[in-house]
Amino acid sequence: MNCDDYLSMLSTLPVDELAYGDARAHAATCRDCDRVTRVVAERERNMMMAFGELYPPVSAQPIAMRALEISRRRRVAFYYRIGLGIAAVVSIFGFIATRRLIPAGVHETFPLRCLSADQAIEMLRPMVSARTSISTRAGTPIGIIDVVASREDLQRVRSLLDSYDNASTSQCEVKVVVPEVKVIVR
Amino acid sequence: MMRTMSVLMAQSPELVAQTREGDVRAFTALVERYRPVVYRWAMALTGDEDEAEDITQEVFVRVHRKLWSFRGDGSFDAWLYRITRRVVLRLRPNRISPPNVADADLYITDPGARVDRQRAIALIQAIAKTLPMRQREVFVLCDIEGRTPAEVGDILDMKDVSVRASLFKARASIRRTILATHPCYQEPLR
Repeated sequence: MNCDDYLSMLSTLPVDELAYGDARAHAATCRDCDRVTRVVAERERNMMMAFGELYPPVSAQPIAMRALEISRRRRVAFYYRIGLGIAAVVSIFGFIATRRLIPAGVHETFPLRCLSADQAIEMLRPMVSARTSISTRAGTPIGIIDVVASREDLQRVRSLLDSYDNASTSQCEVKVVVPEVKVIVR
Repeated sequence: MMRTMSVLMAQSPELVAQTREGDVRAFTALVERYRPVVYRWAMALTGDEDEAEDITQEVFVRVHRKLWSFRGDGSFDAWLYRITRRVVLRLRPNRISPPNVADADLYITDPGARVDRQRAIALIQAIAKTLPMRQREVFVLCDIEGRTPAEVGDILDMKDVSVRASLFKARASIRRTILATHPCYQEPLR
């Protein structure tokens, strides 16, 4: 074994393992390798001592008490989070169930007398709730709207159409004027 | 008094069992026993005293909270080390491998004299700064704490061969400075 072989072993093996066989024989004859080995061994011993002497500055009692306190707080926080999660899930399911249970509304068809279907929708839309559905029927010669709404909204729609789609009050009806026919008899 | 003494003398499994039952004194005894160990691990992994203190505290919070999950089929040390490691990685995920410092700093010791705390800390910091996380862990657990590669493999969930490979690299890195003083040294490790 030469110095390179020995150094190669020393670079990766525990120093104790060099105390046997060829390595030991080489170190016994080579002063440089022996010196380096001693330095490595001594410094690693010092490192172990240094590590063993490291103690945390805080004693066990405060660490334990603080750990118990923080642990308790986190446990409470954990239960709060679980509770909030359950409450959120219940709320969501409750909301969905309520929407399903409440009737969507009452359906009524209104034939229009003066307004076109578009005009009627434009007039009614701001006056009813967002859940109210107002639709037109395509292909009919006269204006017709279908309203699905709560009773209150339906009442409001009736009242509005009564006011603004009433031939007698709004005078929207186109009167047919028949020209007089003068009969001249000669 | 007798009760306190018996708690302090109890073995880890008993302390764990008593702590699970809500015994505060048993938990304090457990902290008393493992506080230096956890602190040293934290120092070796971070190289920072303040962080090591914070990590030690956090580890015992988690120990108290997670003690129910310790099955007892492995060693308590290994379980504790894994908690420490997780806390370190969680608290400082981006600062595990600080930049290298001069290798010469690794052996700031005073042969023949007692190594004082500051030097010990400087030494640990030098190791922490020189070696990558995995090599640092393996070096501390094997060479400093005297565990076998098999035990360390169990703790770190690594194969025995990988532990040995990391250990070789760590030793090579740490010993390079001393080996360089040999006349025949031509950086054979690189």
